[in-house]
Amino acid sequence: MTHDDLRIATPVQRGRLLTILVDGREVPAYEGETVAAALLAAGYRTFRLTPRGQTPRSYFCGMGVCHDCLMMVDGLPNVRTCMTPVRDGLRVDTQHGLGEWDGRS
Amino acid sequence: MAGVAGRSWDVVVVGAGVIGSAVTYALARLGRRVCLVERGAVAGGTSSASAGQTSVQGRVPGPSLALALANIGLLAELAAELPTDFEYVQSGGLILAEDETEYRLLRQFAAQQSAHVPVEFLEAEEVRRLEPYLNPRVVGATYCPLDGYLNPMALALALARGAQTLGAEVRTQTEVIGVSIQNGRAAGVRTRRDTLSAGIVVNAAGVWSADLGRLAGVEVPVVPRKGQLLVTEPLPPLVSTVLSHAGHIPFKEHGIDAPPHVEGELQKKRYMKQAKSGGFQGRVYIGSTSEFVGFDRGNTWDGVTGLCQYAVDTVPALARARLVRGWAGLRPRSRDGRFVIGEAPALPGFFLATGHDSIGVLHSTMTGKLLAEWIHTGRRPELLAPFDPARF
Repeated sequence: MTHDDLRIATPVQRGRLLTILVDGREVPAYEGETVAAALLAAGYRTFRLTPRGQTPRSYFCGMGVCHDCLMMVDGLPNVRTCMTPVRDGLRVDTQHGLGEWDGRS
Repeated sequence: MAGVAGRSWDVVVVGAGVIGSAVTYALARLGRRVCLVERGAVAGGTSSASAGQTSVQGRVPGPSLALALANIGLLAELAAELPTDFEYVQSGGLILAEDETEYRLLRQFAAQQSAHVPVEFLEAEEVRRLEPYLNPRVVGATYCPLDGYLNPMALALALARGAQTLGAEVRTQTEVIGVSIQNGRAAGVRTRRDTLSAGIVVNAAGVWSADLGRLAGVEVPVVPRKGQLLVTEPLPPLVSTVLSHAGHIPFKEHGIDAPPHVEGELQKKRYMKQAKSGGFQGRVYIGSTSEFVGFDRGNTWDGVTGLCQYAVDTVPALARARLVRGWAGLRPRSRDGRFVIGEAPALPGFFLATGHDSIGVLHSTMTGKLLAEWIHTGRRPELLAPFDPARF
């Protein structure tokens, strides 16, 4: 656990410790957490920048409704991080505007 | 001018969709005192349900195409002239050939149409350079740089606001319940609130123009044709042009022999586009069905799944996209499929501007300009002759 981990320490039972890659940097996460939870615990606040104003957006409703926490996850844009469980090695990238496709489907 | 009975105008226009707003703007520009009356909100009916395409490709040479080409020119002028933006994008458009038969037909079609519209045939590699996400089964396409789209709600609003700045009055939430007739001429309308006197009444009520006609004792041969549409969440750039298909082209009318499974029919008019800018930036519009089911505006399972299947067949990456909305619009289709623009023979002073079917946006501002000239000068512009209601 890193010193800037914002998770409560006890008496929580956590899953296995994993690593996700956020904009290429390794970030710790526990099995059963969502991507958004892991990011918040690691101090991330800006999840994406809006298409027109390039203004920052973050975790907001936390229940899959507001679509503010969208990020690129494993190359797919518009993924709601508050609804997406972490997986070891999962690639998560800040979404700039509309994002981009990783390749042709 | 104001009185207990309401007010007096040169012209009252009923219906604030793209057509009525365009007529009102053009009349105001000619210095006529005009009032635009609308039962709901500006662009609240068919104009709110349209995908806003301004594609000329594939249309049969003749009066409708001439009007469309003139409209394309006028849109560019209006984009600079109107007080607010209507998100006009000349994206170019492709008509896709998806097998060898369509390849042959579209090559022939492109050679013919290039005499009237700048259309060229692109081989498969060129098409893929332009649209890398297309299904690889596409073997070629015709391309027209004039094709594009705009935001129809923004267009109607810009025209209505432009008319207001020129002195026109715009009355929304005002339902017309009667048409006044004096000495055998239209003399204004009665609304739920008051009476508006005018020497000329314009019926631009679209799919509801038959109802308004009945209030004036004028038969308007227009019925609703339903089209279901879908729109996705905002997506990264996938499609840059307006995409449509060989089924869009009425080959017979172009003098080209096509097997029945390719020949253009209303039912085969599928298309998609991705908004490049504006409030709907990144969203992919997928349309549309064609159904004669009265005023029903519901989505159906077959309609929605059919459009989804079409979209994924055309651009496979869309299988990963989420839909956010489906809806249906009603297009005013006339008995013979042509526009109905001009003075009603049964009631002098009662002008019709309706029957624009699914191509109202493509013809809107020129319809307004030419009908306003007709009303202003009393002489019918030559371009409108084929659409004169006197033909019925």
